[in-house]
Amino acid sequence: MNKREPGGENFSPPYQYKIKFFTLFKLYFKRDFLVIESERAPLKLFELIEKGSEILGKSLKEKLISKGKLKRGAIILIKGKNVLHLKELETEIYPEDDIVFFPPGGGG
Amino acid sequence: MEVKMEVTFWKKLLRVNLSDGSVKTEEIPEELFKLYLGGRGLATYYFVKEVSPNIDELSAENKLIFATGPLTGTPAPTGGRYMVVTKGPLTGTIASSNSGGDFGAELKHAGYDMLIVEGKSEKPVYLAIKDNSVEIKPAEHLWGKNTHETTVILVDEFGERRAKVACIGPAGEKLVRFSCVINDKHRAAGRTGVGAVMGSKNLKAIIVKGSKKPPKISDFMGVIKDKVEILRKDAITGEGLPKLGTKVLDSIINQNGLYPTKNFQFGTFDKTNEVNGEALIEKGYLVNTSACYACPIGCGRVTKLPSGLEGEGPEYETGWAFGADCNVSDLNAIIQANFLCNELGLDTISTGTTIAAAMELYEKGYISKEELKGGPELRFGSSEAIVYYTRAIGLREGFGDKLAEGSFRLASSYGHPGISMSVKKQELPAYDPRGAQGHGLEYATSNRGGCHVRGYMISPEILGVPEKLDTQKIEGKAQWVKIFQDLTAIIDASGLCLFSSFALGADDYRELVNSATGFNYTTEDLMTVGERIWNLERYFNYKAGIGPETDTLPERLLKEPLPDGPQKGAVVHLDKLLPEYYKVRGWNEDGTIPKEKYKELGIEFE
Repeated sequence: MNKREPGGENFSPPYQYKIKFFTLFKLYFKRDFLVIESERAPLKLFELIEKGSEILGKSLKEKLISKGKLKRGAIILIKGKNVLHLKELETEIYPEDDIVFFPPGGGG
Repeated sequence: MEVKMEVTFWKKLLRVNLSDGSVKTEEIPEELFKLYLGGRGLATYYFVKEVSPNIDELSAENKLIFATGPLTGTPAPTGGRYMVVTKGPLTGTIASSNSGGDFGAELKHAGYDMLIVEGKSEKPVYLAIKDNSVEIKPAEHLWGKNTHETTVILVDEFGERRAKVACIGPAGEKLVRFSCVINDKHRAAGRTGVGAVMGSKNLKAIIVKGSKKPPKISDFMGVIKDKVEILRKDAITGEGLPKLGTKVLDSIINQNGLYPTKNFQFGTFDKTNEVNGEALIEKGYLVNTSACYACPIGCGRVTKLPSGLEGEGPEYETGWAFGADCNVSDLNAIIQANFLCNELGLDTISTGTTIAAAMELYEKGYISKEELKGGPELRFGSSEAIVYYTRAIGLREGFGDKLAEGSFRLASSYGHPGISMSVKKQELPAYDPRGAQGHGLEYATSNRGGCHVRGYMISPEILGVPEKLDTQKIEGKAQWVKIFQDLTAIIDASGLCLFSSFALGADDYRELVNSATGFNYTTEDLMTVGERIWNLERYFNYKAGIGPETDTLPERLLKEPLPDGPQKGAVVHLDKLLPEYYKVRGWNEDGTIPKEKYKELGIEFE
């Protein structure tokens, strides 16, 4: 059994997913991170966002998703990789993954 | 009877010669507006036409052009921008620096599209412009004053509370190679050393008050309403930038692994949370926000230190240059250094990054302690050093005199030019290009040296705007860079702020420009204007002896893989990017511009 799979040597249910918040999420939700617990692993990204919205309110989902897709400019990094180069909202997330959410932002 | 169409530019330039004291106005042919639009474009045309590429940047032969665009001073969203064009003392290239605030709009309201300053005054002077009245006045009493003091004194002397001032601080007077022009106390035509050119002419300041605004053309006002709405609804220009300013970027760039740390030795900074935009708010430094002329975004940050010092900034680039690049996590010290730059008239990016290069030179033993002449040790992480040497640079005191030459000349003087993280001798800004290949190509080919605002590839490569590109992918990047460079030239020529492009596209700019000028450009026509500006700037550089061999990056970025973060192992593949870029640009394989390209673009100088 792969240790990344449910029941693997390092992980057993309930699984914990830690989402790091920066910029406006940090200010709006007044927290640096959110821990989501689930009996399942992995979770799809959209499931994680749904669960996060159940805890923090629908604004989390509204700032990230529009018409069933990631909003233009929203950045979600899984282990440093933008999910737009993975499977977008279908990307599978594992409990030990480094998960970072940014609402759209830009400057220079 | 011919009906004269209303347009938002005056077709008029003001020419001031400081050597003989002459002042005159000239008509600008409308055809030139069609070819170059205004601002950066029109100023580049006049500069290339009138100035020999081989002049000494700090001689009387250099000229200094302040140029507005057809949208400057109009209600067009972000229509407060102006350009300063000259030959830059930091790079030797064409220098082209952009600023916001209110000064540009006021110059336009005085009835001028452009101001050309020539020659050199024997004694310090300032220029007082009130519509048709233009006077060259003594400025001995202002010499040595900082930019805030100068602004306050001049407005008082001028007797018009709403007059706007652009001036230099002590850094410009002392010809610091990366000194800037500060307008409205807090806004900077920051890069490429335009302040030193102003200082070399003994021109301390320009104060201007105008009484005529461009006409509010009905179609134009309708287009403006639509574009303001787009900007307000956009998540970046309507929320991210207003709420957090440009420092919304610190964590984004750090988490993506291209946040240059310790003079680009690393790509992540473990203390970003101490210095990012969120910290600026949480630590109580942010007291207000501010906006430039006609700007619905309002990204300016008004900050206050516990000592009572108040000012604007730091912007993202500034916070990074004094922060991560110097390995400093003391936000108080970073803000102090930022305020000093504004008061002394220094480019914050080159100041911070030159200090960072000096820190690496010092820690590697190339700079001795004795050379610091009593100044604090140049250790990475020293908040004392960033504040001390910023002041020393601006006043050219002690070791600051050597730092005032910029990182390339500094590092070269110790036999280690590779420690200068610069392109064409101008320091690179806050994105490690190993983490964004297209941005690396943009740095290497920027006509004014290391710069992020000549084609901001971070937008597609990191921010996903207008669409997300893979940071490490090579294919197609050259085409993207060309489009971004040409589009940026148009935005700079029109008199708008580059930040508007997070929400607006080329078609939006075409609608704004056409309704203001009546030019009936197609989007393709407009992009050709940008391409024309780009090629003309490169033409000047080539004639100045700065050719394709300078389209490169510091060796560290080409050969040393990023040692940390999510982009660990990456280098910039310029060997692959550059040939494709030359091809996309329609240039020769060696990067020179063929005669046919000049002809195609209607560039008449070749």
